[in-house]
Amino acid sequence: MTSIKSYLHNNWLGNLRLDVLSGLVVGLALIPEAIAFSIIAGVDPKVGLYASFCIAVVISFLGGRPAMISAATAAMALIMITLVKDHGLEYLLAASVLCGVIQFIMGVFKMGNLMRFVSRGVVIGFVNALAILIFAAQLPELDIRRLDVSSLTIALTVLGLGIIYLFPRLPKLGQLIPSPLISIVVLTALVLYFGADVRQVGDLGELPDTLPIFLWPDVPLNLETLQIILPYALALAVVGLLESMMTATIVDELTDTDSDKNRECRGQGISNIVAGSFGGMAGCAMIGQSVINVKSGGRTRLSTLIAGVWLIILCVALNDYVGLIPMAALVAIMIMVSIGTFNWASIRELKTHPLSFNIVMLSTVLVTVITHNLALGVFTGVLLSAIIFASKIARFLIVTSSSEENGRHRTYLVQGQVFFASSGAFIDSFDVKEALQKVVIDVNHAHFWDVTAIHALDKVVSNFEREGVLVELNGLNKASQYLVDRYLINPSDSLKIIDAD
Amino acid sequence: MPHASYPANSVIACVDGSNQQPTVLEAASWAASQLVCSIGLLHAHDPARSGVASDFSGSLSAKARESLLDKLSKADAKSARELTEHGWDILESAKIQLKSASTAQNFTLHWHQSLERSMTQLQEDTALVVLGQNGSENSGKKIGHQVESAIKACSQPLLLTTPKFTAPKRALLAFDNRSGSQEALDWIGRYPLLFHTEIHVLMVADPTPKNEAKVREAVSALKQNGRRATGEVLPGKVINVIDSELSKGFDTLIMGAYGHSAIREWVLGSNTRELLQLNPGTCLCFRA
Repeated sequence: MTSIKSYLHNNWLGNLRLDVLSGLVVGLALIPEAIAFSIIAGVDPKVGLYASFCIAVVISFLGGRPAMISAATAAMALIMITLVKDHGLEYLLAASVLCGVIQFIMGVFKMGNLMRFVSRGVVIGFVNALAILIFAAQLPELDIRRLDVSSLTIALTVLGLGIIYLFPRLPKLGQLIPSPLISIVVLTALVLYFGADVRQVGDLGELPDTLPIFLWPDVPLNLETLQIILPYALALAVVGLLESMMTATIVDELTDTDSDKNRECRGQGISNIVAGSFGGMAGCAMIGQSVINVKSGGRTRLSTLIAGVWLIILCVALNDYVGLIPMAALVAIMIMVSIGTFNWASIRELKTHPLSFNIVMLSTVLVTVITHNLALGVFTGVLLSAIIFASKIARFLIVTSSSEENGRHRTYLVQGQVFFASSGAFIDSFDVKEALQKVVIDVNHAHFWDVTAIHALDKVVSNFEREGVLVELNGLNKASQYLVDRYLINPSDSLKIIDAD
Repeated sequence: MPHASYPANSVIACVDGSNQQPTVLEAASWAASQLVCSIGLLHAHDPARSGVASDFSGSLSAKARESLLDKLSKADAKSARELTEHGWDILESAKIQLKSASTAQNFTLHWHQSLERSMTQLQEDTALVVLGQNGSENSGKKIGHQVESAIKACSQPLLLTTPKFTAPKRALLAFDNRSGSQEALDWIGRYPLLFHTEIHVLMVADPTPKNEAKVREAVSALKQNGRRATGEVLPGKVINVIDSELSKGFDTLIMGAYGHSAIREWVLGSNTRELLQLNPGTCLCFRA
């Protein structure tokens, strides 16, 4: 009883009033975003709204990070565009289910721990790229050359942005009602009152009028289908987990509490499976909404649950009105999201951060923006960080030498790390053409990390031996010796002698 | 999180500035004089991290994360500072109360975490933990809201006090076959805490020869260590038998605590909780 009581207190009811309020705020704010993300992905608004409902509700029970908001997201929507264009909605739903399965498996195998390979540069590059992509996705709506976009649309967007940023400055009232909502209401009212001819949400597709129902994706279950959806499902799984893990870290930081990353992976997986089988698109944690939730006082799972439930209640109840919202209002909200997502400090810090950090960050941004694929961007960033790290460590190799016995003997002192990136430098440090009787290679202060390093050592020793020099190897440690035994099929004599020891 | 170390074999008294503090300190002083050891005063308080929240504007500004983090950590720091001040006040007043009652050396432990977590971070060589059993004066609860989780988390023997503490004269040892009560037997034999206490070993079970032999064995183990002990097997429902026995002039209950699995406890309830609800006076609990 106590444990259940304390579970309820810690996870659901400990912060009741603020959790309910913040859940309501977030639920409201989720509606325009879910619609806008559906539009990015090229599907009916109801696909994003159902997804947001399913994901928020499921993750509130199964997630590893209380108070984090998960729903349909821009990052995921951006990946889906071509799949929807080429194969249609049913394949997207199937991909969402498969993405969930992959994420669940990744959670079971504790892939959440892989997040530690994602450096800060990659994380910042990711959010910046995401912000740029969200912003870029709004540009067609503002393209004056299009027939259905008039200067009125642009004026409405500017007005919407004005309301979003200025309304919170009003004393009291400004902090009570979400300003994006005010912006929607005002813009919709204006458009209706003046009967202005602008694009509205209703023009873009079907809106939900019932609760979502279970519907297995209508795709043939064969290899061909798998071939189509697997690449998308993989990209969705990776990007979804990545954004979720990053968001979890941000919420951890904000609330000064811990989260269970692997549980979050499994929860994300199950919620995407549920979303896909209820006619929703795959989603993940949302950086912006999670920040808004914490800012409004949300701290437990209850806030996420309320947000999801409130969202679907509003959608079903206000079905007739949601279709009337002008696109300009959504564009304004998306611009706010992209401004809030962008890490502005990173631009200022370009001057102070080391070049390697900036290279990683900027390459992540560039690759993502060019390919429109966040997974590729992150992959590039991680790869670059690894290469840069390796090349830094490779500098920790110093080989000095001293001559003895009137130049007949020479002792090489090797200090530092020998591995694939430094083995070239290692080989070059030895002068095999020097005519010597005996050479002593002292590796007491060196560590040989991998097969490449051992081969380099073998090469150096055998080169000396080929010149008729007697080689004495000093202080090869156990780990390195193990590599020699294991991976050198035909080691040179000096290494063999040590072997015999 | 390795906290600073403290003397081995200490008695740790959990203080919170409530009306139970005097008896907790009294019990701790008594225990320290029996065990000849130092007294540690532990004050644990979990800073609530609810943060500043009155902003329902739902909008994201540029730098939303940075400025929110800044705000929240400042609010956390402020409430933590206040809690710290309050905690030191409690510890200082406890120290003064202790000085008048005991000559034992004392030290303080002041942690910003829940009591439950603090229990898991006590040193292995801690002799005894003393904790007030009742809830705060306002709640009127027989078992304080942190008490049960603290008992479960604590691997050292735990002395629970009620508002009337006297040095134990007659103690009832609720004996069963589980490791908790075996641990109790060993501990009582090893430590001189109950040297002057008469101990009655009670097993609530059918009085079969096997059970009676077990009780005899327990009694003789206590006697071998120079304790005064008697024993008995009585049939019936655990809670009822112990309740009626307690009324025969026992001032202390000794028992293994929460020996059952969490699932069984959830379905059937816990004997430990029911026994504590009886308000048996001082209670010495051993975790298996």
